[in-house]
Amino acid sequence: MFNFRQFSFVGANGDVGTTEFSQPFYQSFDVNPNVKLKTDAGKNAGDVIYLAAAGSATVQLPINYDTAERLFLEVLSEGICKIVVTSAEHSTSTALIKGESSARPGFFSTCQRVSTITLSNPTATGFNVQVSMFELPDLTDSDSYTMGPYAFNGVSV
Amino acid sequence: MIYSLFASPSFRAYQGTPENPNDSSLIADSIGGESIRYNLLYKKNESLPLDDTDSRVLTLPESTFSLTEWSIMVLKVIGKARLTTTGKDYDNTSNISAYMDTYGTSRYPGYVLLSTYNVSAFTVTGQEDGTVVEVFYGVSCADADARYL
Repeated sequence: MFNFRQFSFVGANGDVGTTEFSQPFYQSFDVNPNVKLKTDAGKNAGDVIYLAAAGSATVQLPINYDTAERLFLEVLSEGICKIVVTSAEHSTSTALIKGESSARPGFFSTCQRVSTITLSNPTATGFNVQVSMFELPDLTDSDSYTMGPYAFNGVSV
Repeated sequence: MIYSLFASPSFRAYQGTPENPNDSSLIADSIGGESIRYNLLYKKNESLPLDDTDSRVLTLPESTFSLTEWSIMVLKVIGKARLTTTGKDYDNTSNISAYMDTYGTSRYPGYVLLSTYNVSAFTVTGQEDGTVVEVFYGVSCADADARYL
């Protein structure tokens, strides 16, 4: 069972030190926090992987993942990380993820029929990479969701 | 114009399992709050209505943009779409391409998140008639970047 996803990008014009007067220029709160996406047991997985300098790692897919289905994959990286994803749609997809630190990680996501995921660190410094993934259920099927009580203005009804 | 980018993409996809990385105190803790800030030099928002196989090339918002710039991109998709990037590998020589698909509905939109560099071209392609893609993208930089000071 999965919670909501939320994205909020807020800009502070000219002042890097404060957020009080900043205006959001990109926000997406499309999914109500009480609408939870359901997935089956064993069809989600995640790990934090330490990539040594010039090191690499093969990411283990969820144990019950059906590769004929779409896998939502999300990667956060504390440094510059190379990710290679093979899938039925694209034989090989290679991207560089740029992050600076845990306080300013790089991010990457995709949603496709994944066969393998390989991470590598082309730099001379080791860092952590966080991988989260789940098999996406049928989003048009209401049985894919659990609907909880809605909250309006902080009051649950 | 100089912007700061405060990003809190809350990847709260998982609940409770001990091996869950989002329970860890590593990256995930900082993701959930407001503490993550990306310095943003330039930004753009676009909304792209796409039918199947329709393509749009995204042009980053600055004519002096160079290959090595730090590009940040968020796509919200209702329907099916693909982000394709082409550019150079870490060695600045080998060519690489990445394909990031996503799929979503109005109740649960699909997302593509990307923080990258060495990319020379970004292309969004619809994979289903009636797809709507909202794109936010920009150029980020390190704190010490002279253009940001």
